[in-house]
Amino acid sequence: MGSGLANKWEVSRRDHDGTVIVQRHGQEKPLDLDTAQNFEVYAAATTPVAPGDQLRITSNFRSNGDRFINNELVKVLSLDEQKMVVSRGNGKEAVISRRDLVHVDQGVTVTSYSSQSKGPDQMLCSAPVRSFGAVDRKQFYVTMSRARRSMHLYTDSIDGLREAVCRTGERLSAVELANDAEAYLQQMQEVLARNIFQAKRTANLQHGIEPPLGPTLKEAAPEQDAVRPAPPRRILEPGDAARLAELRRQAMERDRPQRPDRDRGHSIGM
Amino acid sequence: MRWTIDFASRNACRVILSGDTRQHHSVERGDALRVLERVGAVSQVVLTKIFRQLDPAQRAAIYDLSEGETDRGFDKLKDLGAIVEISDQAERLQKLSEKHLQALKDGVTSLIVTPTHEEGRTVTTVVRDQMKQEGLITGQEHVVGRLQKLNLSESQQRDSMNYEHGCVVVFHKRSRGGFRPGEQMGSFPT
Repeated sequence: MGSGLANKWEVSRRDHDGTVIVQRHGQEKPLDLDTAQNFEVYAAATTPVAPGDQLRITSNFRSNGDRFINNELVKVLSLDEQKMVVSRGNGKEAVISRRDLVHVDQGVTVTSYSSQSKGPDQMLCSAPVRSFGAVDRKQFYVTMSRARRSMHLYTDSIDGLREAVCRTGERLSAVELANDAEAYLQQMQEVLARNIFQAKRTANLQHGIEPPLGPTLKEAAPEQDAVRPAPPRRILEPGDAARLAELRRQAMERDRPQRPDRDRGHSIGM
Repeated sequence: MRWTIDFASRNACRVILSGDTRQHHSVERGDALRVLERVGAVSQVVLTKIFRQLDPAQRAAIYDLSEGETDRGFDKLKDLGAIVEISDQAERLQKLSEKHLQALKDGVTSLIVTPTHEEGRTVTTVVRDQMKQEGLITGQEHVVGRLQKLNLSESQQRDSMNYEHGCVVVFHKRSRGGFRPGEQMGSFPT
């Protein structure tokens, strides 16, 4: 009978001590947040549905003995207050009681996440500039590779889209992030050392001091004189930036070019 | 993942991880495949041939995308006319909608993909209006209550600040406090 939402636990309030109170049919209970792994939190919403609509199942559930699987697409054949009759991908019909009907949404469109595992004849995509926040390399690859016969993507800026799809969209594990940051810092230190070497050499030459025998600039810094390394794929944490600045300051302090001692006539620190 | 590996080694099982790390990443617990692939810890077998796209030119473009050569693949798709720029929103959605309906009439399967749910709703409204006009959606429209996942992480779910009045909590396991899995809701009186 009626909406399946009536049977669900709904958050009614948060107590002054932070306890979450849920209620169903007027009965209130505290929710033990330490059991968080046992439940999922949803917002209540609505969608219009009429015969002919395509719906997407949004969670695994069972109704009248039939199992429905997350992300399955079904077509609505008929609908009344008690039940909805749908046609499934395998061509079979099934009946979903209205009281079991909560894990559904309009299935006219799917996101690229939900499109994975689907292989239609034709894929259509609407990706205007306002959706570019969710566009990246993976998203574009998944989207465009769905269709067997034809794909059409509509946008209001091809140039902007091209830029957006060249973003990687990688997730990094903590270890990878740390490695990247570490490698970046190390690279920066090397670059600093190289730059300081060059600065000192320039200063010495200005004072008419030839560099002593030893590694030439090219040998000491084989690649280039002063290149910035490519930044890591993630922006460094603010703390890292401070650490970097401190490293730079220390290095400058230690190796600051001094006025050469003319009496002794040797170069400094080369 | 660790449990799986422990279980497998205790019982002399083989564990096969299968997936495409260039597609959307999995839920966090499935991310092990990507990490293992990156560190080269396990041997892997790779499919290099694409079977889905029937047209060789399209297949070549998708191949570039699968290899991470996104800009090259993008340009090929653009040249094939698969990427279309229409600045007027109404016109753009109309065009997409017509293509979709034509496919439905021709008995061709057609899927509309959007980057965001928001864009999906915009497209849905336009497509449904047109489906109604053309008699593909008929009969009385019902407003169906549904649940929208908030996609909170487990640690977010442990923080009471994330609970607002009207949020719905669905259990998938019997839990302390007498809460029972959502599948049992049918047994309660309404």
